Amino acid sequence: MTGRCFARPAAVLSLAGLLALGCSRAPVTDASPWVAEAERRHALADQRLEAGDPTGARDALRAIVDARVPADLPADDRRGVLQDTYFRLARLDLDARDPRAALADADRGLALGRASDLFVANLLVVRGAAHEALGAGPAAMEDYHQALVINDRLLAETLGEPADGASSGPGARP
Amino acid sequence: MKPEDEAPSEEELREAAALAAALEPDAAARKDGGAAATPAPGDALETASLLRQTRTPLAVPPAHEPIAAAHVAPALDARRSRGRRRARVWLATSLVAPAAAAAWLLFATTLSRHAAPPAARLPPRPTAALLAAQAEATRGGGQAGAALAALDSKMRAYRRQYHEDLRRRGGAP
Repeated sequence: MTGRCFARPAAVLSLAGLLALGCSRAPVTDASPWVAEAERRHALADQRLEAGDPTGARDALRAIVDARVPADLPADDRRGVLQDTYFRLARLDLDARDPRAALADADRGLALGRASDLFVANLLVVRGAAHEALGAGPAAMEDYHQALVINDRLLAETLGEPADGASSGPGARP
Repeated sequence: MKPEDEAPSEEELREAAALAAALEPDAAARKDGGAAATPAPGDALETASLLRQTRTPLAVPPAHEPIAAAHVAPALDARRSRGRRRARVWLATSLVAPAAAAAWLLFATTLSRHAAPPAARLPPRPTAALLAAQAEATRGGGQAGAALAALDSKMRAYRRQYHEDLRRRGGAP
């Protein structure tokens, strides 16, 4: 019968398509290897700095920000790891007497998001230092001030005292 | 029932002859030389009649063909349409079931891909010493480099704790 002759190959083709679709599902990514790799590269950067090799330290840190970040990592965790790395890169730039590069790295880090946490405060501090090195006093003061506001809030939380107008957690947004 | 190797009884021989006569009356007549044959039992005649019917093909006289065709045609049409309907059901089932499954899989895949990543936990609380080093670095001036180096040094322990916390969670909520 023609219908049945056509139906069976059609069913096989449909099932093959279904299997192909099933196989095309993206594998579930795990953030742990990425975090472990970032941790390893920070340790490597520490070793390179102790060995007097800032270029090697910079390469190790640059690999963290250049790597593909797993999609299932919470946004704030991703931001924290990357902002901390940009802080270190900017500091290496300042040590290398390259405040423009420090400014660029600090800006890249701050572009990832703002929160009242340690990582953002560190980036504001290092950007203030870069502005200061470039002779941009008011911009430096503004960054130092913002960093100090966050620092004051974090200190109040650490010491268990409520800061004025402070939010409840270290990751609270301003 | 008697065993197979035992000789048939007279009665059995008579019944067999009657059956043979009912099946082939001419042969039986030849054998008996025209003498009157033993009357065949009823069941032998019925069996013979059935056997004869199975041997001869069903023949319809040409004059009755249109009538037979008129009787048979609706049944044949119904049978053909039943077959077509069954084929259509086959076709529809074999296409719709995998298509529905594929649609569901696509929907579920899209949903999981666009699902918001799990919420982050708060990072570990920084120590007072680390915050003091950070506050010192906000002073700037001639000691900015040394203050930043001290801050970076204090950050190492905090960083280790932060990464360990992230790894322990494995990126999962």
